[in-house]
Amino acid sequence: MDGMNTATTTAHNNARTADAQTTAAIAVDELVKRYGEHIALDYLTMQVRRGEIYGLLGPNGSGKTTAINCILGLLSYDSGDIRIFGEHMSPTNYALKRRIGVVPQDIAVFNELTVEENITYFCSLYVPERARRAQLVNEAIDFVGLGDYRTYRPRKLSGGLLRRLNIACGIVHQPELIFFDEPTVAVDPQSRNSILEGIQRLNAQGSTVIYTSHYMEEVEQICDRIQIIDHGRQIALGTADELKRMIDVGERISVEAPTLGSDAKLREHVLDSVRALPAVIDVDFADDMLEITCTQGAHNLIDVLQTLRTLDVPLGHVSSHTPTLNDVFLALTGTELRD
Amino acid sequence: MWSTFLTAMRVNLREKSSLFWLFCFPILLSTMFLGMFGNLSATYTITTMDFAVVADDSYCKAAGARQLLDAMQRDPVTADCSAGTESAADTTDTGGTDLHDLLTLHTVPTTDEAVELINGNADVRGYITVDGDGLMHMTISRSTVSDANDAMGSAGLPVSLSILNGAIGMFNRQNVTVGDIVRTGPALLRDSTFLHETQQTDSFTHEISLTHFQPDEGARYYYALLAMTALMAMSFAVTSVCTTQANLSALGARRSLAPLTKFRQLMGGFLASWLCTFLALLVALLYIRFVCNVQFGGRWAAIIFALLVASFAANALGTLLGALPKLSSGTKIGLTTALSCGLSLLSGLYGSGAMELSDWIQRNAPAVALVNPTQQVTNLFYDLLYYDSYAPFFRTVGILMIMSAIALALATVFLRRQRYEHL
Repeated sequence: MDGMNTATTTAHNNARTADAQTTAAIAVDELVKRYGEHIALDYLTMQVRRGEIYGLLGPNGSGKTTAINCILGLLSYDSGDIRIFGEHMSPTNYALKRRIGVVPQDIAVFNELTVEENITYFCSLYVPERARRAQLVNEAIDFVGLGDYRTYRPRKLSGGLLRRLNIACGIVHQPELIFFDEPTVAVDPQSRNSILEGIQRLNAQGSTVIYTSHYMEEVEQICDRIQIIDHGRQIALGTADELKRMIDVGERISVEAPTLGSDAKLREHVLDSVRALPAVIDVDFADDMLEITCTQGAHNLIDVLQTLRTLDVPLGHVSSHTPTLNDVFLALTGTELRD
Repeated sequence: MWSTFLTAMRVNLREKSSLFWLFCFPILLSTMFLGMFGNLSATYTITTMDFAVVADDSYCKAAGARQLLDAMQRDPVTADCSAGTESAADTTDTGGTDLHDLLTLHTVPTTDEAVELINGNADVRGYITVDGDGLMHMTISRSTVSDANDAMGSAGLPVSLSILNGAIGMFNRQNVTVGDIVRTGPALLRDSTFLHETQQTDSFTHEISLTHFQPDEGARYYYALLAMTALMAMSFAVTSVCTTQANLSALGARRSLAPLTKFRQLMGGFLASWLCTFLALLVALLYIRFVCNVQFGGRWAAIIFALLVASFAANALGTLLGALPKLSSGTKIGLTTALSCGLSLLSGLYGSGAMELSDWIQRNAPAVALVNPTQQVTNLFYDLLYYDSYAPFFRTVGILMIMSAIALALATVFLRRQRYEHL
């Protein structure tokens, strides 16, 4: 029996490996979802590769959660095609559902059950065997670090611990594909780091992860590829570096120059001189700070500082930043990501 | 489905507000009923009343009046009458009734002293005098009038006064009739049959038993309370359905994504809610029966069956409420409370006025009573107490089952949806 099981498992794994090589984890093609006149998803296309952490980045209301709900079969949609592991997704495709884990944006647990009972219940929806279930529940509790809180009811947990419970309920059956929908909203920095590390560990163990957030730093930190969407449309797609290369901005320089605030003539002269530098795209002065936006360049900071010294401008604090995804979003849409 | 059932049981039995409203509230309310309506059953019970009797010459001469009054006392007083009469208590036939306990008489020599006595002692309800024609007259004190009008505070007094008044009235009528006969046809007095019949009144009244159990006026309020409890327990089913609906809660959305059919999830929740409702009703019933001492007719198998039917119907209606589209969970729970309270009014829960309304509806708008689940659940227990036959009980069971079938069919239509336009 054992030999047969091994042979079957091996064959199954081989098939899965072949399957993995030929099909994407998620393939969304020209998905359209309308709420009356409002278009929530506007021919959105998405290809998620197996084994990657795929970030879906966009401001609140951009269509991230709507896209996920359509992919998961919760929401109806007007047109388009959705396939998960090559299969058409429908609410009654239970075999496919068994391979998926979801960590929703809102806490979705029973307040009347303890931590362990909640995780056990959600595990039981996917795993019928009791013995295996007990093992998976223990692993999930260990994974999210809730071992000391097994008998706690959700109301007794802090926001961060609640998020961890929410995650444990979504991943307890060890799914191949996991959706994390804004899992760090209203979470303290320590818990946030813990959650992000956990997601990376899940990915390292073989799970494909879809991660939605409007926190660009998180997406940039953990995602292999990032799709930026706004108004239900794809704005850009690529790795963080690829996205940053799509825009002209290469560096942002901030210089503290308090004397410019009281001398309008000098200020205008300084702004004109800095703006004349070849790498400078834009320069602005506000709150005693000169904000200079430059293209990519190795000597941007030196050039700016030399110009200011030539003009005898007393300098305070000076800093230089590489562009963020917010800059990418700003450049591509004309609005801030956090608007 | 089994794990969903167990989880739903845990959730239902750990939800504090459900525990209070479904397990504690019926006990609190029935305890209140016990205080408010506890003496309702005593309304038709004879209570012994203290009365003064003016033992003047007219009283002493009226042998018949004395005989009647002696018959209504457990220990007849001996009036100081010079004209010797035979012992009334020894010869009076009370017809096997409890009229022996109707009166405790205090003899006074004059009417003035009788008035003084009833004004000075509230326990003495009134006084009885006999006039020169041998007719009796009853006078009651102001405090007795007040007490008699307070049905809750003086159970049994009105009916006891009524019996005394009736007995005196009948005595007086017979006295007048016999007097007329003596004047117009004295020969009839030699007819022993005629004489015998004039002394008998019990042949006009027969005591029969229509039910196998003694009627209990207060029981209906407790039955209505059980019906209200059943309907409030709809909240179990409403919550159970709402937590499987993706458009009603984050929990519902997550459960909708699980590889378990919606039917199994709903069925697990329904069975748990049914069992919890049954337990809530059983606890309330046991308290009402054994602490409040309210009768249910003693047919325990049928009573348990009634609880199962009532709890099933409540959960079927709760499932329909939970499945109603375009309403939030909070609205549905609010509707549950409003329906259980509102329909309980029509089934007579809130006192004698509501009970009269319930009776009026039953007589004048039977269709409203027919579709009112609280009325039908109330009827379940009413049928078992008052009818020897099971036919009315099974008719009520049938009505509730039809109601349940319609509710579940409609709920199925609403719950078949798998995808939503909005979340």
